[in-house]
Amino acid sequence: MKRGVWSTRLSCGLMALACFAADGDWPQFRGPSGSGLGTGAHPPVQWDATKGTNIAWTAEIPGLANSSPVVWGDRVYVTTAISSDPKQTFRTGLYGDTDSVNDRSPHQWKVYALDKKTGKVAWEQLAAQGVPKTKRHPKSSQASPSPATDGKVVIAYFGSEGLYAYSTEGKLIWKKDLGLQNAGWFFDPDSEWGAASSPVIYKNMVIVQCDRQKDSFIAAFDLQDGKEIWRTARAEIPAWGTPALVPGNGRTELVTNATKAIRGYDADTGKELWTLGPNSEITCTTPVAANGLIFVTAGYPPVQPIYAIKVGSTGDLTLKDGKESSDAIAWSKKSGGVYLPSPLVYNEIYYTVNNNGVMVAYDSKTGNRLYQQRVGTGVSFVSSPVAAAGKLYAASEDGDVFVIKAGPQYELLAKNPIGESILSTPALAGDLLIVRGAKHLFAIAEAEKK
Amino acid sequence: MRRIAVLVFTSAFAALAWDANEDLLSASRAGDLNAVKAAVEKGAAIESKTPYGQTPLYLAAMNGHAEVVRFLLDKGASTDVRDTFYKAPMLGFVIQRKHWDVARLLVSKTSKPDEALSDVAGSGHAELVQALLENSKPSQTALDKAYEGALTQKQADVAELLKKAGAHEPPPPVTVDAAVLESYAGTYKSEQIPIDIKVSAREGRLYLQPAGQPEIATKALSATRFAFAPAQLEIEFDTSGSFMLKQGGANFKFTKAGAK
Repeated sequence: MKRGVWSTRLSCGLMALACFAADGDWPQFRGPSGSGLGTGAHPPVQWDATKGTNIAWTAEIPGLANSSPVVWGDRVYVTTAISSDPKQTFRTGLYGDTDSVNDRSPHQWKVYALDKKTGKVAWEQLAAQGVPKTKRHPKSSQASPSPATDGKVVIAYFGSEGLYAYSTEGKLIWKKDLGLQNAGWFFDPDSEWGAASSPVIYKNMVIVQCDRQKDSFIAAFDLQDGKEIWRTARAEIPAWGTPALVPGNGRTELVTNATKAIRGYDADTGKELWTLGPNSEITCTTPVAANGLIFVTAGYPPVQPIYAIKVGSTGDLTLKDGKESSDAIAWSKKSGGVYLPSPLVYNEIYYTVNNNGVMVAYDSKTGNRLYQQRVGTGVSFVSSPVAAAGKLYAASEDGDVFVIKAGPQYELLAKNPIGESILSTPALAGDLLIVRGAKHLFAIAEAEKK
Repeated sequence: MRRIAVLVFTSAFAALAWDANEDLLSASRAGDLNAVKAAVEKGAAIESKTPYGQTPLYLAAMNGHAEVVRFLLDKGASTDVRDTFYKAPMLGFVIQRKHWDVARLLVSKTSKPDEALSDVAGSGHAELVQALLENSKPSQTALDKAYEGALTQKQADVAELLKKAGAHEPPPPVTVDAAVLESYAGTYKSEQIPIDIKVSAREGRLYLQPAGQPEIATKALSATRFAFAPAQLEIEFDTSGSFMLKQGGANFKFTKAGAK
């Protein structure tokens, strides 16, 4: 059902209920429910940012950030961290180095609101400044978590630098220090890679998963005043995935991906509902739900699992030795899990794109593999794929966005350059595809739809 | 009653020892020599371990803390420790992170010169190779493998040192029929590690390319065995469309995509 933006705003105001994103909104990392799906979006198949073809606008965003743009109504929100060292950059490519970048120069952490039609800056706010409290991975940034909004409050999370809530006009409503978020290598805590899990909004709360070297937790804060509503300790080491909200069976499950266990919580109370293992020692992907199943994957040793978990499960869901399914697990695989880009379920097909550009499609109901295909050659991916209008969009670090036809057979429709490396997940907003390159936001749309 | 008292005492002592061990591990990782000494004086175990099997020496070494490494070596800490997750020797991380002063300390105390030679020769760091050869005696097999690796990588200084230490000239490659080489071509997968290896044949040689890594040219040891000396890697094909990859004492079975 296509809802009008205006009617959505009206119901929010009158009924004081949770706001629902309308078609054209992209309220958090990977859009509505973190699905990566742009309902009602019709982005183009072909463009060329280097020549301006099908580019509605570009906007230079200073600094270095992996965070994704989010969209609500006529605004695009982005966060960034601006180092005073102008040489700071991402190190792209496939490599296994564990060392961090220790940029000790003063930084500014900023939030920008841009006009969705023109890309012009509507407002910008300085959230914090100072020397970063932790180091970062060479592929990561000091502003990796994406913002989130319900159309009334804009949440920006900068890990160790804090959690901030702004009005849509850019007024700071509240801020919170969540402590040192020293997410890094389990094997050597001095190899700090930086926080990346993005906040999610549920009812009147913003929920943040803070998995770090010690005293990990997940907590919900009141959107209006930042007051802590619940906090649940997690026996976890650092993890980087964003939690997923999955309604069903009269409750909403808050699903987290992490090393010691994949967990489901009651989103209203933070009470643990279920756990599942084993999992990779490093987990970065975000769970995704579709058709009564929750898909969780990870791609680091000692196991690279894919689990399709039935919504509404309870207790310890760990499979007995040798089993690949159970009453709670529709199907699973011990290998084939992916490391950085999060998976996607679109029209009953479960898609993954791994760091090395290998794309795999599975029947989401059975786990049967439909195809495996390398997307490009010699390319690397960090950004998660998104989908709309029968097409998948996978952005490579090398600055190309591959457009793949959705379906049981692989068909590459186009390879579109933007001329900058891409380490953020694109946003879909109506006819716009918004891609964040290393230095600019690119709003991509058919020329006649600009 | 006395039994309970003994148990309580024992538990308390164990908790104190555990704290000291934690202090030692933490101080070693941070390179805090005074805290390391204090923890040892409190009775911390020199070979205490993290959940991943890293000892205080391992942590100090991989983080390049030479003074702490020297102290722990003087206390008898073992250099021949592999962690339980990556199964990697500490020297491997030390070389990867270019902590050359720490590497020199470790090779001077190693009791596994074959393993150490593999690591230091692969680094191309001639001074380290010399330090190892002066302090220990690797086996002929280890010398020969390291020498062939150095020749392949064109590390002349290292090759010269190994030659002087008695390394033999490597045997010439075996000639394998082109059709046999071509029959190996394809993409191989393993259930043990998440990496695809593309195998291709051209100009009488077999090439391996792990996904996302550069292609390597192997040397034929027989019609079914192929090696890449610099990585001390060997693969052996069987008749069912699979090969066994051997490296660092571990074996990984890879099966050709589409093979049953």
